[in-house]
Amino acid sequence: MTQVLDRRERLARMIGPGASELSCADCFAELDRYVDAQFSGQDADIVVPFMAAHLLGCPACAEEHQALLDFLQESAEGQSS
Amino acid sequence: MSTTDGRGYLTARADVELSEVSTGLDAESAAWLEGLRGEPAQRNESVRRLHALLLRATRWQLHRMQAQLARMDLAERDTLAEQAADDATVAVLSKLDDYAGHSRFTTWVFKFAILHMSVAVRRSAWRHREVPTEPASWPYQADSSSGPEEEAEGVALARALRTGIDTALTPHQRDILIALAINDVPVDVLAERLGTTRGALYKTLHDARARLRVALHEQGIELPATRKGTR
Repeated sequence: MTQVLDRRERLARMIGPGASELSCADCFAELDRYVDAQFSGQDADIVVPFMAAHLLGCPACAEEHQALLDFLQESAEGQSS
Repeated sequence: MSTTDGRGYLTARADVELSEVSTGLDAESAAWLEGLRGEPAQRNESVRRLHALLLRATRWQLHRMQAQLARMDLAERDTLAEQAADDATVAVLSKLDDYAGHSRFTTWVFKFAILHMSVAVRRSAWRHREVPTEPASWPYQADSSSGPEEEAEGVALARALRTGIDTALTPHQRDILIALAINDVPVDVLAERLGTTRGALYKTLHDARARLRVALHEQGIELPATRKGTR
């Protein structure tokens, strides 16, 4: 089930973001705040520092972050249509 | 709270100018809390509505990840979504006092649904698979579509990566890096197999990556700049 990643993506997966980042537990604790900040047009990386680096380095947390953001977006579009 | 490099998260937060989301609860969030903390009849009705809300999210997330469940029939998938919604409901109710109003209440509860569904799908998809302990293939093998210069760089990087992985990492770090970063084993699956947590494995991966970066630097490999921004 190895994913098809290009060389740059594979290297990034191996060496990580190379920056201070949240732990997975803190990522989950702050995920709703981060996503709501994104959703409302705030600078989410100021609201929750170190989150972006973690999302670059952790595929599972990144997948859940994107899913939550997309779900809220679709829900909002469903309500407005 | 701490970052993966051991720096205190709260301390680190104080280093930057914070622009907090409003800590005042919006009317909908306040109504949810009131209902879930209300009298038994009101609470039961609120829990029923909460479960329905979470089930919508788990079904949505399962649908999004359905390619990983090709062998699972529709009834099994729906059961999986129901179980994830049950688990998310229990998690929300047990952590209700942790909700600090930094987001809308619905955003806060949806993250539990997304998490529980995602973990369940990953674990189901890998249920009958062995977790490989050696790379299925080493990345950065020479590839016929590359130009001579790019191919030479790829060969040098591949050699440096293998050297770094074999010499700079502990056996445990090597196993975790190979599983997560080369073989793409989901972290939840590996955590379950090893009897540990996602956070513990990610800390090991973080430390392994740091050592690997140093090893590559010592071999003269110039690493790409860290990407900025969010996904």
